[in-house]
Amino acid sequence: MHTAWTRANTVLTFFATVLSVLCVVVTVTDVFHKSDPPISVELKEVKRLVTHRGRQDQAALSMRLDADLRPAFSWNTKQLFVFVQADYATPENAINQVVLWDKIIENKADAHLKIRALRQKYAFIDQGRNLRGLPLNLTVAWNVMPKVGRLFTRSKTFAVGTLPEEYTA
Amino acid sequence: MDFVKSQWDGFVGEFKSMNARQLIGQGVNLGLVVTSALIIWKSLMLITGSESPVVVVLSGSMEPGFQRGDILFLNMGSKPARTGEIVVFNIDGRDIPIVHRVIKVHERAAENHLDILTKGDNNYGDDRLLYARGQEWLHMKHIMGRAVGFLPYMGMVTIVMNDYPMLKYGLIGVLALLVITSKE
Repeated sequence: MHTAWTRANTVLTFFATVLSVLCVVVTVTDVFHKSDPPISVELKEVKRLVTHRGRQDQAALSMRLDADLRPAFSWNTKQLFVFVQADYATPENAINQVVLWDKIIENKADAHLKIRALRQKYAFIDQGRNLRGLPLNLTVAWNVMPKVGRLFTRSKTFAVGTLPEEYTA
Repeated sequence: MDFVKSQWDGFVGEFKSMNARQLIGQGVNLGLVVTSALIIWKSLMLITGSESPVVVVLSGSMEPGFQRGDILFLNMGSKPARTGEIVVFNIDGRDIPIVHRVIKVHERAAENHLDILTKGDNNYGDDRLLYARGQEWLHMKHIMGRAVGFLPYMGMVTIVMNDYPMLKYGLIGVLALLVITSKE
């Protein structure tokens, strides 16, 4: 009487077990995928440095990016979310992280980024008036989004000099 | 239909043939299934520190990374949020938590205070329009957890069951029947 149910149940349970074990194994292979992609980012030009609403400094930067992220792809990588951010410290804030630009890379073939004049996608606005003469770090980070399993982020930070001492006109 | 009827008769017959002792035993069995599911969920909450350790993606705002029906595993952790992380947050006055990426972080030097701005990968602008009126930043208290694991498609079941509640009750009923009448 119950054999049909029991069999269906057994088959389904076995299928689910095999599937979950496979998922775990695939995820673990990513742990052994080590990569050290060559990356460089430079501050090309500070186009604007002004006060925003009279309370907050705002800067517009142009950057040069060369990042070969092809080694970061493994067989379990669905896409990379790459971003460039400004990293700096101010008297009020110990840590400021402002993403300036980002890009989703879905194919390994598209993962070599060479951008001579990288323009900001997001506004670079400080919470105070601290951007003048500020030593600036630019970080290139890539969030690895898997087909299944663990998500993780890797990054490289570069000291790219200081912002101008005076506001631009 | 005949199949369903014969199965149903089978269940009923099974039921009638049980004595009180067996009935209680099967009831306890069903209770065990329910409570162990609860135990697993609560243990996950304890380990991850997140009030909802597993969430289903309900919108397409993080496409193509996450699609509707994908499952995310969350971990709260003790570390403050950083850019690039995908966090799940609650907005005051909104029922459904949102899964988006952190794009700005300002951490105060003096006190333990964090200003966070998020954005959906597939959205054009940042999330200030989604936040409560006048709210410019998220703080750690809004954040329920950060995504650490990804499992595609498996959440589709929950979405379908939410869209068709009858299916949910039907499924629960059948499963309960199976547990109660199963002979072990």
